[in-house]
Amino acid sequence: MSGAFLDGALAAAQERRGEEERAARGGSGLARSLGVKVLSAAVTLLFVLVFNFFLFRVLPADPARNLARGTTLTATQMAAINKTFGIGLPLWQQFTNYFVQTFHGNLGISFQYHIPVSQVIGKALWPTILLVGTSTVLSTVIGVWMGIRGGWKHGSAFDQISNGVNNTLYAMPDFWLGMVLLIAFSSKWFLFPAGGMNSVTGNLSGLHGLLDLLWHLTLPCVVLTLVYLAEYSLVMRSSLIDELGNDYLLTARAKGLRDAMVRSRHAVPNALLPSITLIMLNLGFVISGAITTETVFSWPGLGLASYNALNFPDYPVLEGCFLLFSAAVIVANLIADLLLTVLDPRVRQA
Amino acid sequence: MPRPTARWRRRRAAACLALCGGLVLGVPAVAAAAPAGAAAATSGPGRSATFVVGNDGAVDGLNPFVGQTSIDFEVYGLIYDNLMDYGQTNYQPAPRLATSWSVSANQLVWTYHIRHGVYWSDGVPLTAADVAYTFWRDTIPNSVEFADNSAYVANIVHSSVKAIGRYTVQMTVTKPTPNMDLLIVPILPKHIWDHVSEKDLTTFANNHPVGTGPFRVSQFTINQSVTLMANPHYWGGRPGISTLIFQNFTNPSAEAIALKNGSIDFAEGLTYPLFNSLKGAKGVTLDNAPSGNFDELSFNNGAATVTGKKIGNGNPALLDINVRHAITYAIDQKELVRRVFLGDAEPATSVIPPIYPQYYYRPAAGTAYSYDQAKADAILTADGWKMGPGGIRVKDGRQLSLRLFYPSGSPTYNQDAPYIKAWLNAVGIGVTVTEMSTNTLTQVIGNGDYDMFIWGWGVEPNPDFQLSVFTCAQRSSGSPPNYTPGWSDNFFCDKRYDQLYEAQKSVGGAARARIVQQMQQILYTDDPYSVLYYYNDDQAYRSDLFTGFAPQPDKPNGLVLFQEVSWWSYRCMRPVGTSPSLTDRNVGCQHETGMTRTAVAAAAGPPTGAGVVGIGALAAIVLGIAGVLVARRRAAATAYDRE
Repeated sequence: MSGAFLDGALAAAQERRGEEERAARGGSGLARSLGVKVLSAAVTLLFVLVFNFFLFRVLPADPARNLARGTTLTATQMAAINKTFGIGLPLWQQFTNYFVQTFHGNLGISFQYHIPVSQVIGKALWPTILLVGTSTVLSTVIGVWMGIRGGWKHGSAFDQISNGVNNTLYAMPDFWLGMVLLIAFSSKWFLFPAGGMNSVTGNLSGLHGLLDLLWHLTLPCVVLTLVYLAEYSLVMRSSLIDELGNDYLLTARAKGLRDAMVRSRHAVPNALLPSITLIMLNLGFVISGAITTETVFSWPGLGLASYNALNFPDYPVLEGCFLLFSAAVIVANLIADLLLTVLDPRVRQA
Repeated sequence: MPRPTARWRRRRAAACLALCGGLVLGVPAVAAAAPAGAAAATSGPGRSATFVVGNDGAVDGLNPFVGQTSIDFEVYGLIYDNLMDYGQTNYQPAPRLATSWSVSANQLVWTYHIRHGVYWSDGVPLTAADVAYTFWRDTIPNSVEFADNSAYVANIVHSSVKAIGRYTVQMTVTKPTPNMDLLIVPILPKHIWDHVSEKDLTTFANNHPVGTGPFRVSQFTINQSVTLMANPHYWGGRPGISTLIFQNFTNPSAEAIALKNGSIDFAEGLTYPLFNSLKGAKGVTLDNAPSGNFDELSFNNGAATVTGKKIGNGNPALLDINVRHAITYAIDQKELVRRVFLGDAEPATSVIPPIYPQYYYRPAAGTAYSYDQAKADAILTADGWKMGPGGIRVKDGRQLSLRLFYPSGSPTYNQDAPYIKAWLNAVGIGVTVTEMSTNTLTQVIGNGDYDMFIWGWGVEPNPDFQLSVFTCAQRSSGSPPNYTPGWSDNFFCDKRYDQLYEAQKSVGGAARARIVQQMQQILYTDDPYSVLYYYNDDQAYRSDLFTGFAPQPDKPNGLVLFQEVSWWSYRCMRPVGTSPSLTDRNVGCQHETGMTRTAVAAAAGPPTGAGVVGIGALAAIVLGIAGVLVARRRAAATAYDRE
């Protein structure tokens, strides 16, 4: 305990000295702190890139056989196919190719679809952003609002109900809730489609196409929104409750501010930081999709694409997906870090 | 299930998503029928000639050298014509692009007469040059094309393929080859494929395929759907439907719901519980169709390479025919059919399913295995296996303990395994069950590192490939640590069997059938496989909206779509209330049987306002954004009406 404390104190002292030196050199503390964060994100990304390459080389696979549909191949055929897909080369050469090609945006050719991986991912990216993005925004807005309302008057009927409902929903597996909604609203009453992103019949364009898309989006989006409400409402609620006893709120009230004003101007801004961290972190996961929900609703997003790739197995697509998912999380973390640095001076000091 | 067809000789990867399999088991009861209004919406003007096939798999690509799953080949067979088809009634050769054919007296030179008046979907006329080009290309030594079509073109001499005039093609084979009268090889347009080099072949997207088949592609969206339109140039006349859509469902329960609520017209790949949940659904006909599929319990019959080098770590106990027999007697096939398939399967004898009656093997009375635990016990005891500690038999200090593997992702293997384990335990055989990915299991089998596994095959009407699986030449090759697996997944190797395999290649008709039966008798007696059951392909479709299907074989429980390497129904099916519009030119619609299907006409009338209210209520309760949702629903309902 004391050792750790001492270390901490020492580190703080060094940090302070560092700050002073930097200040003496005329460097800005903020800029430096931002720079370090960007650099460490870049290093993490590089690590992921390298790790990704080796991860997929240790898995058992016989891509050439797979590509030729497993028919009895001669050595000549195998060699020819290996050459097309760059499989048979020595490892170091594969690694160099992988590195150079990745930086050129070339992620290889899909074993399953025989088209560039970037195309496979590109086609699945938009559906995922639409579904998971929309539901993240909805659950954030609604969840934070519920958290504020419940936390401010905790113990009230609203608080108890919203707490109970959100916890119950949070405990539900999203695929189960999805199935229940499907059975209710697509089978029992046919109000929403059973799957897909667009109606396959008819030529829908313009406004009709958009409405059709929203119609298909409703059920999966409702599922994801409901299941993730609690994440935001609980975090917001508890951090708001933490602020409640603080003197500055008493001061605000003493100044004669209305209750709503005290809440929105004083308590909420202080209680918002954990929620912002959570939101930013979750945004990083938006593009990795929601595999189970996408599967239940046949939603052609990246979650499903990566699941298919794993089943096939389509290693280039998996590799591309992993890279993209990791990059998204790293970038989102970086943004969260930077945002907090700017928003909260305490973070900068620490 | 996206089942790679036997035509392409891939193992049937029963790939109902494991996840959904779980869901389905948990929620077998899909709620009651859709409102009448919904069904009516689908049969409104403009929608009527559109047929939507729901499938629990997606099309991988439109290049016929790329796709692997059954739905891929379903689509290729609609875009491209073969020279012949497996007949609708009995799988006998039926003319398609070739109207007639003949073989020289020495059985080596085949001449094909090509149909006149055939146009490619881009308007260019088809000639013998296209056909010759296709076979020339498919026989290039060591090419992917050859590897892909070798089941049909293996004996064709590459340099001998030639067009004689505009409508005749001739080719020579290296030895008598009876199945040259059934060449299931898609005929490709020379003017397109000539520009696709061998090097680019596997990456050629072929997004706008040009074929002579009844349909052409109008839209293809990866992982979602393929839309086909009737080919205006089709030589067989106008199909009964103008638009044909294959829609991907990653959740079979949702697919069943979509069939009920009228969003799709045909459901393929439903699980057995789901299929049964559709009983009584309005307007839906259920077809519990026997198919060419079987599952087996395979034994390690002495893993070795083609050169005879012993490999792997299989339990030597299985080299003892008595042990294999005891296992087969210990398994209750009927119980598996009842419990796992809810009756939608049939106990099996050998590797050719009964839908091919001329090849199907029926053991002589008195020689058939039957479920008999006492007999299994007796065989093992007589063989010197004494009951040892823990109820596991022992002989010469070795325990009779076996590993049992099965591939993941199937909703049935994981149910078979515990039954088999329990039955074998009961006769004193220890069993350790392990599930593994298809890729891993393929390699494990190739290395011979197994004792038993459960897996299956889809058998095509031509039994050649299925029989080849048991030849010595199909054993593994290469070197350790990972051998290159051949098609043999049992390492059976028998000279007499191999001779018969060669012999059946060069005779036809009843003579061939006799040899095929003989080969199966060898397999049945030697028992390298315990074939468990032939399972049905459960198909469900909207008979209230469509009629005119051409099931194969031509019986009420024939396969409606996804037929065995055949595509008969697509050319003939049509909306209820229309008359056959396809002018009959030898495309099978003359077989329209007029069978009474339990068609229930959908109630008329547009969707009611109830939907709007319902959504509003849901939204109000759940999200408090009722307004938005109601607006969406109204708008969407309108969009739906106008489709």
